[in-house]
Amino acid sequence: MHGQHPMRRKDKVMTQEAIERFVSQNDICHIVMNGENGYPYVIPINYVYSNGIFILHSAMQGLKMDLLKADPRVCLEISKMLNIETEGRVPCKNFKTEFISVIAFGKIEFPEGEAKIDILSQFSAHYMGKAKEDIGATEKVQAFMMRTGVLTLKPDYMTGKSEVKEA
Amino acid sequence: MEWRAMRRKDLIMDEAESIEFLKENSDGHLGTKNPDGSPYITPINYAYEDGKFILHCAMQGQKVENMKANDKVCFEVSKRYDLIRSGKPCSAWETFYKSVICFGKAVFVEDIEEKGRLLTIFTKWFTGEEREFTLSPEAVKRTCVIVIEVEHMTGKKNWGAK
Repeated sequence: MHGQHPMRRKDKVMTQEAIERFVSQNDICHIVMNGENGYPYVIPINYVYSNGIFILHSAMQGLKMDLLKADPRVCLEISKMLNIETEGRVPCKNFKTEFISVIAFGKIEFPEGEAKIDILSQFSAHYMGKAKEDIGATEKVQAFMMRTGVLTLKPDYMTGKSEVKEA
Repeated sequence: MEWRAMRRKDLIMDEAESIEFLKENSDGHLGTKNPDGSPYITPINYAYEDGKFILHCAMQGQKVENMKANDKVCFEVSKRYDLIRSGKPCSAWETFYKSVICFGKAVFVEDIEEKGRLLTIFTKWFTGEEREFTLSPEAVKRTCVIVIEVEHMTGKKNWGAK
């Protein structure tokens, strides 16, 4: 497993159950991959989390597709600022930031053929507010789906950090 | 250093608007590299001043260790404003967003006076308030202050291009 590092702040560790709940309730994430010139590359992207897998979609071409095919290792982050209080004179001591963040580690996969259509139907269903079975992709829609880039991440592990008054 | 040009020329957000966007926000996402070469991401608050991001954090932790070993970082700031769902997915749907991606080197600020100056800028940026704050020398000393000097930046937006 790459990049494993125990969390420094044990007091803010989230349970796996809380992590699952949080990632299921959101649909924007940020992913980092190894980029050009030895730099990391961070992008924002919509996702759907279903059955323990993050589903992403994209054009077939572009920088991220080339980079991920060369090195599929990623780190995917979902975070939310919930509340910021800045009363008082002493920053950090008086201020209070409430947040939740989850980081998933693993390798991106590129499903092909029927698996690709199945996963993209799951993705569409989320955004269309339908069940996957009701997507009923016609041949024309399936052909369109085949021209879409589909990426999945089945995390090796996830860590969650949270500071919330009432969890 | 060569950087690939953006594929979607129609979605390029120019430098002036990108900087304006950075000035309207205060939370970004920092990409660093782990010792084994795998990438690592952290959400973090920032302030922006003259081509530099100002970050602060504890003295320890994974991102700090990563940047001490490898100063190459990516810093991203983005916002999804709206998601329009009418008609067919992708062909008619639209996500309205702005995003800025910056590449640069992380510099750890050691000088106490400079750290204090940067933390004051950061506090005013974060709170949006001009009032006085108390930053004791001890607090400044035990806070890690990092500056990211931007070497390359790209901006992208969809503001109803279709």
